[in-house]
Amino acid sequence: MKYILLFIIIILIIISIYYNIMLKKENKIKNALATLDVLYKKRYDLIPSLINVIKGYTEYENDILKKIMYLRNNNRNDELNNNMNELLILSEDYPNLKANENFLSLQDKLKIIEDEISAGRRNYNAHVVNYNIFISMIPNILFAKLLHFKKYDLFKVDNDKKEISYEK
Amino acid sequence: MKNKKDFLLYYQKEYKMILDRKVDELKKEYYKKLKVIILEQVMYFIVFVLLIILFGDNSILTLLLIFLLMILFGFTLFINYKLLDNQKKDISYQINIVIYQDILSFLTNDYLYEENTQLAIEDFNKMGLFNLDILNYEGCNFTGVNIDNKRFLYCDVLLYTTREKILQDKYYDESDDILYITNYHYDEEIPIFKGLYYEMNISKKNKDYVYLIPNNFNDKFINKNIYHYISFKGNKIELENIAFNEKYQVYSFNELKSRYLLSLTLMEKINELDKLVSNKKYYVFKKDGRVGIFINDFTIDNLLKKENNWQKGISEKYLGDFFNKISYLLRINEILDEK
Repeated sequence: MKYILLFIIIILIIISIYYNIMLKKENKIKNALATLDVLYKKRYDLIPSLINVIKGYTEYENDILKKIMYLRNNNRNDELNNNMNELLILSEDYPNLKANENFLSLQDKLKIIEDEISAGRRNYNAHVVNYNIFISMIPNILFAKLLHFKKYDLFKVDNDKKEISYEK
Repeated sequence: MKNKKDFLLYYQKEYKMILDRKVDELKKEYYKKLKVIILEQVMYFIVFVLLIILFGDNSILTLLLIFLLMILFGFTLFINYKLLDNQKKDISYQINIVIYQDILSFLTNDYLYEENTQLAIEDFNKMGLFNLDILNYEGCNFTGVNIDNKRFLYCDVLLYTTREKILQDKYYDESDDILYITNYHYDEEIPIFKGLYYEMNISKKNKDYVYLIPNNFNDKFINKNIYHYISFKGNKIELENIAFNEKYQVYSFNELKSRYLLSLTLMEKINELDKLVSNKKYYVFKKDGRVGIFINDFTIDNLLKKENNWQKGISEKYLGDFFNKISYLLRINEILDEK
């Protein structure tokens, strides 16, 4: 009887150790996601100011401006990246815009945010890989299934251009 | 930035004449000294012969005189040979300093070089890599450069610690049956880091310290316990670039900021730099965008002490190699600063 009790206690201790480790790793992923959300919010707040500056200089690039506002308003952050880059490339054709101090300052801020988002994604992926490897190994996989810890998906960039319908 | 081809073209068109003139001036000093030494030795020989003739009738005295004068003659010959050899090396060193400064002025109009100046210890300590509370610091060959409005500096650095050593001398006096032991205490210098300290600014502003420490497996550094003397901070971070991870360990308190700073592009650039300058390097990225690179076993002093065979003439190959080493240093700034 004594030994059975001891065995149960040991098993419980082992389970709680594994639970704590997996919880810690999972929380790092959630923290990384939360950080990414903060960075998306920063970009979200920056976009209207940037578009207002550009509107004054570019009359017939309104399509891309509308596309960006649509993606922003619908929190489609992953697709926003490519479109923002496209917008900045187009702005190269407007020397007056390029000379505008406000635009340059916003462009710099956007570059910093984009770099931070890229770092945030790499950070998220690193924690996901670490976590997924841990819960896939033997005997960790047994405890993960027992305690309902599931794998997370890596952040992937979707290079396929999707059709975006917005009001023209 | 101008390359080796441009430099050799400049050398063939203009610089050869200028350099030959500077070398000839230094050669004149050497040959002047050589003449004085030859004259000195000839004088000794004449005195030697005259004394033998004067005291030649007394055979014991003559033998003693011959013996003493031979020793004196041999001794002065040895000393003069050493002096000449040192002067040859000294002239080679001075010519290399001339070449170094000329290459710097070819590559940039704005530079400062001071042979016996070191970077101020307070500025060096700000990088926060080596623990200067327990290490001694010496430096020389301070060089500050400005290329395309980008300033950077580098200088030779020697960091060492001292260890007390005792040399024991034992003497046994048989008559008194006493063993005398004399202990001589002296400080032994143990070099911890000898190399080049390179400081530059990068456009990206980091908000925390990031340290790159070279991986030291199967390395002589392990024997020196260099980790005792490094005061880096932070947690170890694994990055995605495999080649990079094999060479460096990354330490930082802020994982996100370290990934922001060490983008995939910058890691590739650091790998690229390792191909140009293969010596082990420590990197410190500071909060204000400054970067300190500590390049082990690479000093300007070693470059300047290289024999340039000035008596036969400075070859184009020698100048080309010299130019490459300087331009690699100057290119570090260009390579690492991501735009």
